[in-house]
Amino acid sequence: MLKRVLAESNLPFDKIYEAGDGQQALAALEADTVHLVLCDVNMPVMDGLEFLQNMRKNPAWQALPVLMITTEGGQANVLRAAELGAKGYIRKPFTTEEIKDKLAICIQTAYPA
Amino acid sequence: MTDTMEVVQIDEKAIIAEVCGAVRHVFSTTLDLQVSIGEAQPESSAEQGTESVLALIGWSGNWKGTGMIGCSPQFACRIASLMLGTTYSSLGEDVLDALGEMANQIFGNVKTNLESVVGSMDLGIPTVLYGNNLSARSMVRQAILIPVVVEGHSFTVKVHMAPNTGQAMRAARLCVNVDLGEGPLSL
Repeated sequence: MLKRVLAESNLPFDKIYEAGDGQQALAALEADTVHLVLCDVNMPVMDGLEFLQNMRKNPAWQALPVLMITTEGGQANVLRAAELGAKGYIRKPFTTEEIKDKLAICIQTAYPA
Repeated sequence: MTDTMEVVQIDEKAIIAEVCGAVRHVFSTTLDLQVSIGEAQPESSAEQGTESVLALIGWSGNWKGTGMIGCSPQFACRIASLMLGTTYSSLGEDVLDALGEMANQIFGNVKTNLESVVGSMDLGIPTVLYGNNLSARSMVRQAILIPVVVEGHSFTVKVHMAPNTGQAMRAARLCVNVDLGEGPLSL
């Protein structure tokens, strides 16, 4: 679903990696240069908040923009994600327009022209 | 100091309203489909399985619950096609993932909205089953069955929620009945 939105967004990314859990996501970050992370909270093995916490321990990834996209819309999760440096929090279900707008803001902020 | 905790009660009507609201919201937002929701009823022990794809998800905290959605493989393909922007004509990994995501979104929203009343709950990971004439039944007590029709297809929704007995028995000193009135909860 997100791949379709990203493809339609005309954002300047030429590769999309998919990870089924936080551990796979960390491995993907190790393998290549990543410019943006879209992350769910509710994942097996390593959830999104734990992934974010682990990611921030690496100095190379501390400024990497992360957008949380999840059904876990409780205030505690939103606040924790913000504490860990998430640049945005989108609650599912979302519209295509909502995602595109958030992505554009996130990228403009992280990579100003 | 005594170890007490308020046990908040919510009634079945409130749970049904929340589930119906989530179903409408998810179908409308994610798939751009309008749904027709029938009368909620207790699941029947004599109910025969008719679905071929079921997605189940659980949650726990002060309250615990299980949610289930079920439909035909044709409608599962339709859901996946709309969600993913590609046409699917047979069950495969993407279609099953799409059903799991529907369960995640529907019951994830129910859980998040009810947390403001009953306290924090943790959502599990969806499990998707597929086969012939499947049915699922709650082992604790009767679940609530909510019949839904979308584009002429039957889409079954079942939910069961109850206080987490162990915690409630240890900590309950005060029961507060919360009258939620008409309509679903909203943040």
